[in-house]
Amino acid sequence: MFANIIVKESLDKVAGDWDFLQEKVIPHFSTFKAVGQNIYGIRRRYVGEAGIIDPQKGAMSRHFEIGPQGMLEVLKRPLEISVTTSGTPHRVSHNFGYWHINDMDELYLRLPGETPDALGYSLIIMGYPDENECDRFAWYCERCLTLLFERVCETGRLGFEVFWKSERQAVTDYNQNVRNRTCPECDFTNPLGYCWAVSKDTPEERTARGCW
Amino acid sequence: MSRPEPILHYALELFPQGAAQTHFGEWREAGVYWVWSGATLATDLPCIVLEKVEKGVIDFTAHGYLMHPILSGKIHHISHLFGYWHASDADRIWLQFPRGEASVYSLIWGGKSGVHKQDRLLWFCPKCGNRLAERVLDTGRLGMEGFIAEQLDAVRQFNSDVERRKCRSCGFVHPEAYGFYPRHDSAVEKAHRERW
Repeated sequence: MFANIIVKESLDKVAGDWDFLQEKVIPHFSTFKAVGQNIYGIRRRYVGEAGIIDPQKGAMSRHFEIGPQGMLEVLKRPLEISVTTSGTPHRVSHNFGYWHINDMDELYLRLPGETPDALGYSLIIMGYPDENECDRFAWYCERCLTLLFERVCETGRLGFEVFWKSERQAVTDYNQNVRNRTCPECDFTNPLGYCWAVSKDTPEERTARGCW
Repeated sequence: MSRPEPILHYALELFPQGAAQTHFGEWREAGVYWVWSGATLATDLPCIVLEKVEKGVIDFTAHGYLMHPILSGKIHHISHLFGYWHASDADRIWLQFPRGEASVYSLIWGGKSGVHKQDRLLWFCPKCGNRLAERVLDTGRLGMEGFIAEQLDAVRQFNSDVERRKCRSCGFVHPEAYGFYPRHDSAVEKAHRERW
């Protein structure tokens, strides 16, 4: 109906990164990137009924959250939009070795590839934090869920680009003293924490990544 | 009209296995996001995102997978899905992916604190791009159900007055509009949903 007024130039010329799933665009989102009011993470992963397989990290389909009833595993099925609401401590086994607490809701979606052996897409979308909104890295006792250690990252005030440096510092601080990992209530000692990026692992952290 | 319960899981399968309830085809609140899904078969007219820019209209026709950001303030129309141009103060994300013989779509709306308060519905002359009509919706106050009702009311007001639809610049008469849900279409609205 709008043929008379359609812009004739190529989409790449007039609209830039107009499709986030284009092969040449996806690398921009390999960690997280803010576009407009949201922050996006896009990964190519095998997505199937058996779970999510990351080419680097392996099987990583177990998503845990801590709520009023304690810790629970949340099933994140392929082809399902699911939301982890703001303030909910959550972690994904073998993916990042801490509990992430976001002041923003996080929306997840896993899309299978076109064929069973083709890579699909794992999408995470969250709102860009406002001035007083933060991210937190926390560790709870694996046995009794007592809060052991926490670092706050002021992503709203400082900008989201401080997130990864802050994550590395939080993991380093937590790991440097066994007392940080030892529960004052039940005396259990947690395994070491580790960062999201495998490339940042120390040998000890790489071992911990395999454990939890 | 009862207000649907907010949800945390929204299946993008036409027939989700083991699900007691499907939300497919419906807007739902999922956290701070509003989420909708839909699908077309190869024989159906596909949903295509169009965006209005100074130079004219950009056509985002795509096949297979697509994840297209529609940033706040961007005037856009999605063919056969809603019969108006829309500008929101909140970002939207348009998703498209193949599923067997079908193309599945999802629209994800919002995410940031303090936005999703106001929407503008607009109509432009298809021949020359001149602006014909506009309705501002106070979405923050209306909520999802109020938004659905108000956008349909705006459509019907536009359709009811041929003078509103006639371009003062080139004299072309804009065809009738239609609202978001096909189940609300009148016969005329249904016919025009298939047209644009």
